Amino acid sequence: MMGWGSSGQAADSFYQVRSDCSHNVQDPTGPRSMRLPGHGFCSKPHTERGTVPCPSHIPYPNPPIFSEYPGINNRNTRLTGSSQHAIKMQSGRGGMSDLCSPMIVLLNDEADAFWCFERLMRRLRGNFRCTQQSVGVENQLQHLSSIIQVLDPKLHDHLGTLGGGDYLFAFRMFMVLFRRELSFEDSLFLWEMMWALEYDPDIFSTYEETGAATSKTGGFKSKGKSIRQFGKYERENMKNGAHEDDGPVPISVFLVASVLKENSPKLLQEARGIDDVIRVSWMDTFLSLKSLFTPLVLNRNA
Amino acid sequence: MAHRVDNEYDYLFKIVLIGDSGVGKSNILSRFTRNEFCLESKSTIGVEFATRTLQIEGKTIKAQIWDTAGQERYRAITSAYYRGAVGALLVYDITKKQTFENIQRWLRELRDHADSNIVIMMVGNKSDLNHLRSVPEEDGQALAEKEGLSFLETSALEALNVEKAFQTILSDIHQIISKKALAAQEAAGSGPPIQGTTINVTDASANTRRRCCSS
Repeated sequence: MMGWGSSGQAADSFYQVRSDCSHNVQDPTGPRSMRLPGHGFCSKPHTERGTVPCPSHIPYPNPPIFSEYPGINNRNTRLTGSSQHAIKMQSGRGGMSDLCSPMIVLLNDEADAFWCFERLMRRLRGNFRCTQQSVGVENQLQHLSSIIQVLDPKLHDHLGTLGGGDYLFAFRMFMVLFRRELSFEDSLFLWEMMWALEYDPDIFSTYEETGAATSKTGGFKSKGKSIRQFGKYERENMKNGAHEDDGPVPISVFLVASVLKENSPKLLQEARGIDDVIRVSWMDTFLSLKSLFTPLVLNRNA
Repeated sequence: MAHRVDNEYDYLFKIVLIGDSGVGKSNILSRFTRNEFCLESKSTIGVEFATRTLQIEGKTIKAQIWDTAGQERYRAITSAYYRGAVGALLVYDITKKQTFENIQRWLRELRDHADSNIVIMMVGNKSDLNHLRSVPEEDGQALAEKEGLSFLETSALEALNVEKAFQTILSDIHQIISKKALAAQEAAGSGPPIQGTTINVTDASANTRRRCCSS
């Protein structure tokens, strides 16, 4: 239940995987065999969103968004979990369902979907951390602001005059990784590209450690010249010692910065409000990005 | 943010939509700006933006509306929401008493973060759900009178009073702004003439000319 007095409790309480859960990952009799009827991700009606706590051990903020995906509605797709895998999420945490729905749609096995989501949240949980003083993605907004200030001071000023100087329009993009800016398929396409750059298979083992995986890779030495194409971004970060301080800047920050920079002339000329910034900059660039990459994907599949 | 720009519009007003989570802020916004309503809308993340331009008393007014997430966890960025806002639409759900009781807390937040001259309109949304009503219209009216706010009950679903709510708040803001402008004009017109020193232009220009030719 969202209450006015409850925000002081910390940040972590809405998303927390108990440490005793992680050993079940490799356990073949673990998550897959644990399905307790009635203890699933609840599907409470939207009208009560944010006000009624889910009557389950794995409460879920919103029903997964299946409406975007024709044919999926009739499938019996409900993630289940057991009381051992207690993820504490207060209801009304809008946004996590946006991150979870692709897993549920794409993976037939709901236990797989659950663990994919759990792994994704390890990396993104910081975004959902909010206290009275700070909001999870605030750092990223500040990074974006400084990047644009350096890259394109004129654009930075223009955004300021439109009332978007604090870059709040990118809040949602960082929070749910562009799921609301793009269609279902397009956002998956983008996720795949981002993850290919962000995850380095050479340091796979460090991702399995509990807690902020990315902060623990500092001491790890990459095996010389990797022939792999993935993990480029991650390796750059390690080279630059980005893990030393408060963790690396997520690739999504640079993605938004490059989209803004790319569209700078158009934004300076056409954007007359913050809603224009999102409309003008985002859609066109993504379409061109996609046309650039689609042939590569097709070649790979051929 | 009451800018005056000559070409596209006369005034730009920033309006914030605030109120508890789930009261229908986003649907009020989509009804007003796009004439759309979505029964299964997702919860707002952070803040969303929309604009609509309309005519009020012969002036073109562009309303830039910030639809904020009602969830308490975004509290830390609220001061950014209110920066430059000249109007606030404070929404509650007539079927949920708690959202009405929280109005006081929202007012306190406005007092803490927003400009003291901000125009506030209280809106009881979901008036189509009259059979589920838990806040009588009179209670809303009484509170609005007590706090000195304007008040309307709306239904974003039935497109009832949404337009009127925005029209009311925008024309209230416009009136205040034009009154201020008028007062400023009058003050300038009736005030004592400003004492100034006479500048001898010919001397200065002669000097400059001479220097220019000699170089």
